[in-house]
Amino acid sequence: MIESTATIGKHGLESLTESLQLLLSGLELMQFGFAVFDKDLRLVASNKRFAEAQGLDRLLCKPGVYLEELFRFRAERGDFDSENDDVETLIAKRVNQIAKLEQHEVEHKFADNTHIVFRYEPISSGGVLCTLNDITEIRRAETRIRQLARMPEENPNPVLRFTRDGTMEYANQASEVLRASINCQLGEKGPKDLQKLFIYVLKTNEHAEFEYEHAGRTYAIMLAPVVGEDIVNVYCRDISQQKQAEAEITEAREKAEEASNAKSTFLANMSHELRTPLNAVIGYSELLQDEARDLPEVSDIFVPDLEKIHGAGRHLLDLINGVLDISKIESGKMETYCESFDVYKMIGEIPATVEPLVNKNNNTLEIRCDQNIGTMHSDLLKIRQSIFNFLSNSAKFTEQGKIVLSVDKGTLNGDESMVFTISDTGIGMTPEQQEKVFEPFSQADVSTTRKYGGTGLGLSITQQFCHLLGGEIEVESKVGEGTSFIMRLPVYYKQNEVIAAVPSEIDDSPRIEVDNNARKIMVVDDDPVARDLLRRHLEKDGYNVKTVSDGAEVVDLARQWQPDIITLDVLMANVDGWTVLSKVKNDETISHIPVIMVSIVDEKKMGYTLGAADYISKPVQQRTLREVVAKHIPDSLGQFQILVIDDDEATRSVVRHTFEKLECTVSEAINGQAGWEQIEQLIPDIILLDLMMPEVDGFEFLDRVKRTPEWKDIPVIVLTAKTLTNEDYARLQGRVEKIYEKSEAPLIQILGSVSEQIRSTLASPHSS
Amino acid sequence: MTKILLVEDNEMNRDMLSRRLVRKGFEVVIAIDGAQGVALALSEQPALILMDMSLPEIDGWEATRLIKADESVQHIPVIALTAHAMPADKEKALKAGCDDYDTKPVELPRLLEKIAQLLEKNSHS
Repeated sequence: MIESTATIGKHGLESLTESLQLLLSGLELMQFGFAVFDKDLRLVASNKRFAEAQGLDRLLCKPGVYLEELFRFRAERGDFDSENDDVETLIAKRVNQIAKLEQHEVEHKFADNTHIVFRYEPISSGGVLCTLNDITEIRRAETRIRQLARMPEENPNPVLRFTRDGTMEYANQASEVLRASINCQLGEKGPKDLQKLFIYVLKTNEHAEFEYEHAGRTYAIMLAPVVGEDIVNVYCRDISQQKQAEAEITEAREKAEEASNAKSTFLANMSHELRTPLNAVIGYSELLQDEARDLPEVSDIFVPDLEKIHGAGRHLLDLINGVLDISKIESGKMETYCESFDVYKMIGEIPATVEPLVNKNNNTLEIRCDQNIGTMHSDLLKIRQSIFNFLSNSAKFTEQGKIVLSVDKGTLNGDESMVFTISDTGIGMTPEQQEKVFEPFSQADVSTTRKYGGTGLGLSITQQFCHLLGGEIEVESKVGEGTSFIMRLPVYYKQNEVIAAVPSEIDDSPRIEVDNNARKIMVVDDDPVARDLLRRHLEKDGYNVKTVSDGAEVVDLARQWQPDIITLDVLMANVDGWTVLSKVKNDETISHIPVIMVSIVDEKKMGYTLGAADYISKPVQQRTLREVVAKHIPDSLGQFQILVIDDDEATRSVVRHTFEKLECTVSEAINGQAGWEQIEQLIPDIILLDLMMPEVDGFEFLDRVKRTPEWKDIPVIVLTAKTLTNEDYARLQGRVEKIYEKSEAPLIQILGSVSEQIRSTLASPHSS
Repeated sequence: MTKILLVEDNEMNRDMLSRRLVRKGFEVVIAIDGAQGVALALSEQPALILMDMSLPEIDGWEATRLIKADESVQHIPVIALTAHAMPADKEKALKAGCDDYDTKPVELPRLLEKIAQLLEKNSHS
């Protein structure tokens, strides 16, 4: 406390005391500990925190106490036990340091794990100020940071950090190779396109992923922007091996496909090659038999021998067919061809084909099938072949017996099915034989083959056919009594549909339905990331996208491919977007294609003047892109029936192509005569009429149409190559909606106007 | 006698089939390629045409299309003879205008029945 001085007046003293007390209260409350020592290192004043932070009793820290005593207390408490000196040395060391009256800091970790930093400041008038600060949290944070900082360093994959302007701020050990390959080290600026990317990614605040190839290695790179700090973290993964594996898989798959195709070709060729000579053997032996029978002298000699040849030929043919069928089935190349057919009718055709076989052993064949049993949608040929197979088996293994083919309706796995049952009163099979009956080449047993003939393949093939068509086969048999085969097939069989499970990202902005096949978009941008981004957005919406990286290529590619829309980046290195735009607009074959400019810079006005259809600014938001594109895509015209009458095939073809894309139905006629015939069959909504045609030309055609009450109101648009005279115009005046001369502009462009004309003509009600 | 035009390029097939048809009482006219097939259809005006589908010059589909496009012969029934009943072949044949189809190797009884059916249908119309 300050001793009163009599020289100061009573008021002055009071206010001084007040100020002092205020000051001291403030110091008491301060979060820093503070203590002031005089030149003799005796405590003059201190605050609560000073004692508290050190775990000292406030009473100890009273004015007048020597610094030495505070250290003594602490030393005896064990604060300095980590040092191997005796107490006096410990104290002396510290006191002497502070006595130097130099500015310095000492950090001490207390027993309760608090870190305090003591800062000593000499006071000019003699003495020293000590402030202490609790930096426990700071130290803790530092440890944590050190722990975390190890991780990118320990990461076996490259991890880098760049600032917005492209300077490499951090690079871990593992990024050495990558750094060398992009020729950028710490403190240096990365490649230019990377810089563009950083800016882009910081703007969108979205991660960007792409692949980067260099010197035979491929990296998957992810850029993670930290917008608040204007930095971009770069995480890489060397996926060279993966790429290699993928390439190998693709190669293997292609080879397999090639092999498979080669096999198909082989099968097809063998099939033809083997059957051709056999047909001759079978055919001629049949023919000769017929002819021999007419010549009684030789009939008895030749016919049996010819029969043997014929039989052998047939057998061989059956074997070949069987082997080829099995081969096809096993290599997955057996196709099903489904059609709707009347079951009763199909059954009706069968007896004729099996009759000879049935009669051979004096058997009878009975068919039980209701006339109205209905239709099936399945592979008729295979079903017929299967039934024939069952019947020929029954005929073979039955003598003087009865064979019954019955057809009933049933259910199979809950679906409507057709059940074909072929029963006979033949020799039957043992349970063991039944088990093997569907295996190829395991006819009940070898002796059976010799005795009864056959290939041993029939039932195996039949079973496969049945399964292919979604059905099941059962066999029931008793030795000596007979056999029944039951084949159940779904009445309606749908050929295999390939369901591709495409994982879709969740995008809850409304999807605009677009016809996949018709919409083609050309994306032009020299920046691979922007290109890729647009492409992915557009493909997600079902468009067919081609990308172009060089502005110089746009015109040629657009002419070839005829996209529905072109998106064009303005800032491109080689040829700038505006130049490309004007080239497109000046080229007749492609000037009708809407061009959407895409740019970081806002230059709308210029765009519209030069002929751009619209404008999107970068970074491109998916929603914006979607809406703008949908706005300019040529949409459907309406499901109109258009009759195009033109003797030029190319014209007809382009018209068909153009208007089918717009969801119209197009019928064609090659001249006026054919045109009339078409109208007779179906009255179109509108007619596109050429004038110069053989037989009946456009004028004559039009005359008759206008004379015919039912036809006169059909709107007609003339599309002609003829340069019209005044007389021509007079003839057409008032009778056609509009006249287009093909010489004026390229056909595709004219058709654009034509379609607008059709829209306005057919949209408004036509007065008669 | 009923005249049948047989359009078939393979010599043996031609020989076998024509002889057998003759034995069955038909008069058989032969064409060895598609072009000849169309020409003979026009000049001979057969009651029925058996058209092999794979032919040189013009193939069977094209020949059939041409025949069906010509007023003087479009009424003549055409049976397509397809090598191996590939479903695509059948559809193609019918699309080209064939009235029926049969598979090779020819099974005479089956073919004769189809011929009979088509001839009867024609005689009624």
